[in-house]
Amino acid sequence: MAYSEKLLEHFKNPRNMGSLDKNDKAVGTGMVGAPECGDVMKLQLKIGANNVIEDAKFKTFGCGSAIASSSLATEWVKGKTIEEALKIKNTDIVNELSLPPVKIHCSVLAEDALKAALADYMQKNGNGTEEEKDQKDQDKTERVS
Amino acid sequence: MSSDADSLKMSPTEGHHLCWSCREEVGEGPFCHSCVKIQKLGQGQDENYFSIFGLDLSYDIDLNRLRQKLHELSKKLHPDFYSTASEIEKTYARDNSALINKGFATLSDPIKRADYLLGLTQGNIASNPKPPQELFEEILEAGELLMDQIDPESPELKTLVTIDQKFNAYNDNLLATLSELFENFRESDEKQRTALATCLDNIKYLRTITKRIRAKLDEVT
Repeated sequence: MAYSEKLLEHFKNPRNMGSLDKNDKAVGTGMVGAPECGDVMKLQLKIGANNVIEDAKFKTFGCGSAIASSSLATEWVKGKTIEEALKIKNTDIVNELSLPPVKIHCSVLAEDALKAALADYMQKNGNGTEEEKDQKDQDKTERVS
Repeated sequence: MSSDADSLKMSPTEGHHLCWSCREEVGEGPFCHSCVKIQKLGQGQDENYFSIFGLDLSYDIDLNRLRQKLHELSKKLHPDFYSTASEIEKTYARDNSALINKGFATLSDPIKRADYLLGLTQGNIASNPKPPQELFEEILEAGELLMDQIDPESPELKTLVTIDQKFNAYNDNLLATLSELFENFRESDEKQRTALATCLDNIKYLRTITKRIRAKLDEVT
């Protein structure tokens, strides 16, 4: 099975790898995973005036398709508004990277990470209740062990 | 594990099915109790890998007994013994051998066994159990380290070994928790089921990252 040029290009030269300050009020962080394959994806967005996404960063532990999917997602959302970014679907990623059927879940993960990052931003900036925020802080202190 | 009546219960009705050859009731096991002809395993209503290997339906199993039973069944069902038998018996011997091998692979692996056991029960999982953020951060950190070239003398190697030990400790803790959760499991309890599924997910995340760390360590050292 051959992977597309675009996929390989994103895998070899991932765009926007790195982190943003998750405590920054203007930054939304989405962290998602797929237990079956063990992939973990973190996608962060910095949102400026008029709800425009100024910067996007990601970190992905997983296969080449997962890295390429998250790389592409960060590239796409830069300069878009929140509303526009919410319209990005995993199928857009599948088409752009010509993902084979067994790798479609990687694009789903990228979409989930994007949605989670936007949800986190909106919650941080008043679209979530105080109670929810308290719960979130509590969750953070819970450990895996 | 407790043998509480309502823990991990399956429907108590015995699956009755008849021998393909003599049309008598086959009873338990891979051979007809009347005519001793080989039967296709896994057909009974209440048959599952646990019952095929003569084990109670519980997470904590005796692995020695499982292995023993595998050898016993493999010997009895080996397709070589059926080389002169009818086509139907040959097919059953082949299918049964494949089935017990798959059953053994499932039951001998703690993650697969847990997944399988959960699958035999019925109930709901809370729709979105929260992902383990702290563990994810640690996995991403380890993943970054794996991308670099690691020199045998470098401090990165030490870091990787430390991370490997830390993840192994997490894994041991989670496996112990999993066992405890199964012991007290009531299948209708959504909270318990969610806790089990979450614990199992975390073990799966650790499985992937530790596999990759070990491959890297083997490559470097």
